[in-house]
Amino acid sequence: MLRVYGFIAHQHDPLLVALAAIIALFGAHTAILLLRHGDGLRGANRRIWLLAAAIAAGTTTWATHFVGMLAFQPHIEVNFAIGLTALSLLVAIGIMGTGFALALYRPGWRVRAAAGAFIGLGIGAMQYTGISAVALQGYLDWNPAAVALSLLVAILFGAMSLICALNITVPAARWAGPAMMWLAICLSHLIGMGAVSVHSAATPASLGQLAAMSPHLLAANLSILCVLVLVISVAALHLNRSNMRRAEEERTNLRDLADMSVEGLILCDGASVVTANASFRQMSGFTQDALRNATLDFLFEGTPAQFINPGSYFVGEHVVIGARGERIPVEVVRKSIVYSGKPHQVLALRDLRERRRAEEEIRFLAHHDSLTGLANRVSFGATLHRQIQENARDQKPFAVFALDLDRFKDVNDLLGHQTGDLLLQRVAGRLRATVRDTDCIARLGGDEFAILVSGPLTIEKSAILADRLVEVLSRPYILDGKIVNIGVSIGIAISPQDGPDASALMKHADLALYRAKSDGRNTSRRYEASMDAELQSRRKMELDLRRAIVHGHLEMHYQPLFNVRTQSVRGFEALLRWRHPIEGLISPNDFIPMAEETGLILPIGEFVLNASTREAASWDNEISVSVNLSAVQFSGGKLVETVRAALAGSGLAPERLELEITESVLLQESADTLKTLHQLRDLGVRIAMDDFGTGYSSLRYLRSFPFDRIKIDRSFIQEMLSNNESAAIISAVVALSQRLGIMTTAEGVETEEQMSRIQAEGCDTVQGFLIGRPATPEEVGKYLRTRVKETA
Amino acid sequence: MASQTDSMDAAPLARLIYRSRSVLAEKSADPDGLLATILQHARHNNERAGLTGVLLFDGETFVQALEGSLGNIERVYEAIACDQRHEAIELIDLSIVESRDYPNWTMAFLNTADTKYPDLRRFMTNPAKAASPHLSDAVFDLLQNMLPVPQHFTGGLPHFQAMA
Repeated sequence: MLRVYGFIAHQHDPLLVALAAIIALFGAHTAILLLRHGDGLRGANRRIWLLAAAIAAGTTTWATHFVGMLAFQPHIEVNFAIGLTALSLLVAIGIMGTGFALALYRPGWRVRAAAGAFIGLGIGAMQYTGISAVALQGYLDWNPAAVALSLLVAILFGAMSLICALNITVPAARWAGPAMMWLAICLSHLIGMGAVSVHSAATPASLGQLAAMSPHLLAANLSILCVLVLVISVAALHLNRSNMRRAEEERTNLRDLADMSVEGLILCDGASVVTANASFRQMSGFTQDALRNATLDFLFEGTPAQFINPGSYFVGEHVVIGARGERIPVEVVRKSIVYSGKPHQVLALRDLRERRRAEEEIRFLAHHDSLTGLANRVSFGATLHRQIQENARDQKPFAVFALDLDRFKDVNDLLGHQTGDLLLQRVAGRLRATVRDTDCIARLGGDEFAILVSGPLTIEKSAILADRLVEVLSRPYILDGKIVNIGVSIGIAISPQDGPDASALMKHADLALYRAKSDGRNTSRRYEASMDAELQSRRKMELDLRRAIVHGHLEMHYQPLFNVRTQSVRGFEALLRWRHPIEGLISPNDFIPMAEETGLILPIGEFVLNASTREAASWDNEISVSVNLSAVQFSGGKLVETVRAALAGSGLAPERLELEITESVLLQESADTLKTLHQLRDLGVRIAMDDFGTGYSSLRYLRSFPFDRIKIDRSFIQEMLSNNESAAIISAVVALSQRLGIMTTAEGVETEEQMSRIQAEGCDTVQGFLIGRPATPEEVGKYLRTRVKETA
Repeated sequence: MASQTDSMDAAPLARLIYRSRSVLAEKSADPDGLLATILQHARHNNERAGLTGVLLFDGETFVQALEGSLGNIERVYEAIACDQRHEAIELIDLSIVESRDYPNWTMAFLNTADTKYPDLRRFMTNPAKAASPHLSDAVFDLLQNMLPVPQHFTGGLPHFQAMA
């Protein structure tokens, strides 16, 4: 140390020594600063700052050394060889750069220590290369121990310098790093210089050949170079720092913006998540910490290879597994971006849960009946279709039940639609309670239901189930405090024998249902092949009847009504006949029920009224005509208008028209029916009750409407001579009618005995084969003309 | 006591009486056990719905009286109507009443097969009589006579047949 002290005190220019120390200090500080800055960066940025740190460190170390050497005044002329001087600079920068790179790219304090040691070695190498560049008139003598010491010091402090410099956890390391570096440079230099003795020589060693610089020029150059390097470095550093601050601000803004986004955003580097926005965290339930370093495999169901594959844009639907393990359907848009100088992926995720719920609801609504929650016609058809396809494989017989509520219309009409809807809901509930969960129940519309009874199923089992359904659905209902009784008719078709496909099964179940209804309702029937033939003939008949209406195959026959008191024909009952071009005359009994069912009764009824009134208008004034009305005509709503038009068209006096209704018209006893009857009477026509005694509690109807005439059913007339009860009923009805001021007609009088007995009972009018069979209009006209001649 | 709470309800008090045929014997090897379960279930449900009543059973026919708010009666009745353990349900009476006849029983049970009640037994097994318009009164009278209602007592009476 004495040697060093003496060396500094006696052989050095103090100002230059101080300058060297200051250069070293600034250099160390700047280099470490740049290095630390570079440590926070990646890729090309890091390389640039690494280079800057290497240049700053190398240049200043080199400058320190040369300024230090200039401060050395060995009392002989000293010059510097340009080649070696420059080489020493390159050595400094190269070794510094290599050391820094090692420290930055490989983590761990051991590596940093090694890198620092390498830098220390570099400082030494540079120093001795620099000393070799000295060209002086004499020679240098080396003290090996001092050289070794200087290298040791450089290595030691270099190592400590880098350990401290890149330690971000200990605050003191901020200044310790540069300080150690400074010490490494300075001490190494001082000790190194102390290791050298300068001896004068007689002849300067080939000084003339060497390109050399004077010490003062070198010092000036060095200072300028150092200042330049340091200023540029520091300026660049500040520029970069402010850039980074601005980038950080932008990042914050971006993060805020990302957090404001409704869609979930995930930034990923390859398959690992860098960060995610608030929307995604909220959607998935993960915290930012849980997301950091998570992989896409962890977040998504299945391996979303498309997320990582190159390509700028990708749209698809995937499933995110949320923090609680829930499956979250998402729509994913992917975009490749460059982030922190590296390609990254941004995934934008739209939460599809709400949409899926809405879709599910729409799907439910599309497949279910909104009133009852049962399947609707469309989905029942689909289920049936599927079942048939399954059965093609496993051959389990199953059944299709077609159900139709009996008297539902009455409930709707009498108690209102609200009660009707409530009833449908209750029916749905009872159906659910009666069949198995695996069976599919559907409401096809109105009061029509269908059940797919899954197999395997025997014919007996299906009949038992149908009976149970009839029983359960026929149980009384309490609807808003009102007791309601309905029934159900069921048609059964069993797959595969009753139909190969869905439409055939449905059709056949419907046919069986039709049979159940026509067999008295509240029962079930299984499909039979004969039903098809019946349907065919019914359809053909309907078609023929439509043709008959258009082509005038319908004609009216008239049967005389005989006034017992005046012993003369007082009128005719108009009777419809269908003259079929192939099958001949068809009785109304054979086609009127079908006409009522299909609604053809309305045009037919209109034809009957028009034809009868027109015909009657051609008769004598005292002769009336009776026309039968169907209950269906009353519900059509146009009856009064039709009658009015028929009277106006024919010119027939209203009192010559008598309309006959059966009890079925009054069965519903609705206000509308009675209102229609009163309106008809107001036209001036008379109203008769037909087939009296065959229906229900007939007397009640006599009270509900003031009939002009009662027609006693032919069954009583035919039995009156053999059956006392029938005779008694006739007497009673006639007596009752007389008391009420109602005329009576006895139907079906065929013998003289019946005639005299009826006469005795006091009936006003008789009708039957004894008086006359139904006749064509021509025959009636001929009869009336001869009668006129006879009376005249 | 119960009538006081009832008077506080806005809904009118109603009573339903129905009759049905048991198929317990077809459904279970232990019909008595099944009936006990049904009763227990009924009592639990009735308590929640504020319903009271009596169930008469002679081994073949059930007659049940249910009283409470009309809405609750309707709801419980619909569940009864969905039950497959009886059939041929007939509603004998549904009317608005002033007070409860069985305010203290969520569902009293009376085995009318017991010879102690020959009148009741005849009534249960005679459909013609059951269909008569006076049936409600007859049931009321019989039940009233059979089941005097002690206001202080909510348990079974000595002649109150417990389940087998």
